[in-house]
Amino acid sequence: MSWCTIESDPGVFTELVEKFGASGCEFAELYSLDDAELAQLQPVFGLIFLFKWTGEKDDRPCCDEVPGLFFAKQVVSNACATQAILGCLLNRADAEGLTLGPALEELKTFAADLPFDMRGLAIENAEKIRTAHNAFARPEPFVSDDRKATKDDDVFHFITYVPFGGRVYELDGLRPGPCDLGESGSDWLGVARSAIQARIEKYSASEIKFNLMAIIRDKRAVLQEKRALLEAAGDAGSVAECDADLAREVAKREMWSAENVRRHHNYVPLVVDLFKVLAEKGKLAEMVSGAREKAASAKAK
Amino acid sequence: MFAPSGPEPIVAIKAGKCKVEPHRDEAKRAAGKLWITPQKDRGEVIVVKKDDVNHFQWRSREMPCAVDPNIDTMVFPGDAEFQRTSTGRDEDRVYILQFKAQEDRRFFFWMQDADDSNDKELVEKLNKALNGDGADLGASLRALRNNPAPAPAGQAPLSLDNIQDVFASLDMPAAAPAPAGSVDSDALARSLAAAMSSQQQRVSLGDVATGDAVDASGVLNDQTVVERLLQHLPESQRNVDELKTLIRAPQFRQALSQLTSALLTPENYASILANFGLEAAPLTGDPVQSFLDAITKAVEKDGDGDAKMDDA
Repeated sequence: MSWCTIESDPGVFTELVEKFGASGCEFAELYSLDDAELAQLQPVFGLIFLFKWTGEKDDRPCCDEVPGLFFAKQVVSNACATQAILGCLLNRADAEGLTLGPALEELKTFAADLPFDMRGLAIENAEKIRTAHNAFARPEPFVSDDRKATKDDDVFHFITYVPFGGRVYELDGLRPGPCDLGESGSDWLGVARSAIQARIEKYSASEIKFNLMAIIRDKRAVLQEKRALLEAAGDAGSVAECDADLAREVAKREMWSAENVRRHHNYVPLVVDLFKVLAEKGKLAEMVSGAREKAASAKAK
Repeated sequence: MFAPSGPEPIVAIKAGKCKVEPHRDEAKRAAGKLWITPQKDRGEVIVVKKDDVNHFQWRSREMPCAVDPNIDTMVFPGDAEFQRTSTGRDEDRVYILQFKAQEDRRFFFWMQDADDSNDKELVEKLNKALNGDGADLGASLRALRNNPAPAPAGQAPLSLDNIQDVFASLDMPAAAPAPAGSVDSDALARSLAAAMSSQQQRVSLGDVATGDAVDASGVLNDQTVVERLLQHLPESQRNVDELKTLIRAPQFRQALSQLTSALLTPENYASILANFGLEAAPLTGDPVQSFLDAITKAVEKDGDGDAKMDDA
């Protein structure tokens, strides 16, 4: 059963979890770990660190079974994004506003008594999850056998940071078990931050690509609650501000969904017809020579 | 803070670079022979794609992993091949990137992965990345180059300590003597290749149809054109604002580069033209230009009547 690779993008991941049947959350890309940036995103359910895997050794100790904690060993390579997302959602069923939905609830119950590697297989075999994941296959109009992933291809790896049972865990499906980062206290993000900071320093130095995503509560829900409170308090100015924020969030969701429609579409016929139109209108030749001049001068630099 | 540094390589092979100098022996130097010294730096040769064009580079595998500006070159399909070169000993894993049109344009490398079992596969993958599947330049390149005379067999395997001696005995000519007075097929191939590479700058479809260039052409202000192009959009998005946004959207730019790459693959070229009802123009050294020529031809054939009507 094959899993496609999917683009690491907040709009893609958000639609993906909605297709799993979960609701009440969204993804946000993080550009820094500053308190101010994180405060904007609260409540943060979990963090996902994504990087190009280089096969380095990690000798930190792992836990054996932690009662109630969902950790699965990765058995399907392209499923790692989905697996990391599940590592967050299934451990945060308690989170404010988050609903897992029947498919994820079922997986959670089914996988609870399985060993770590069998849980990976359970994910692989969860049809609803696989179908949702594979719906994000990029159109490959000229697909040929050699485009399929081989062992030499870049392997991107996802690690989840999540608070659970008063502690903070790092969930890395390529390691034997979850890694306990310490007590969560009142600020679990602070605990996760030092572990992530260490990775960032390591990967920045060696120019390895990486990316950080937060799984947060649906911002529209957060703003609607805030708006209700402000309205009750009779603060008309803040209500208007809140409405503006809400409109921005609605527009963001619309943009995400437009982008996702584009992601599923094959634009090659449009490309060909556009070139035909340009030729018909007598514009093509000058555009080609313009491009050549630009390329030649870029090369000369 | 999280900005990625350049495109990811399509292929990477652990390999060290070599210093190339005129031969230290005067007689050999006079004959145009070279003195090749392997460098100990741990590195890798990589192929990265930028705007649909392959770049062959060497970069260090140690901090700060910088690309060597002297080994950073654009390679178009058919331009060059990465191949093993004989030192006369089977153990030596010495490779060169040889440019077809310029005999003296080449880069020397020595394989650094202790395990040689993947060499063949990696080198094939690298050549495929540079040249696509169809191009088999190997034969003509091998014929073009003067292979060095085999060294005596039974020497110690290549290692960092003795590689310099091995290379010194490699005796690569700096330039092959021109085949005097005869026109053989290799020489012909070479002159064709040279003519090809001196042609105008090659560009990708994305270079031609940049968002700015499409805007400047004014075609998207033409109602008839817009209605026609909207047919190719997803049903829920058939409006002019989407079309104007789309020409700069990553998904459309990706389609431009997918089509460009497909045209550069010889076995795809003919089927793409057939798919879009274009008369198969012969595949030249610049498939993108051939494709655009075929489009122009098809449009001219469809009759001047339409164009005149649109212009009115």
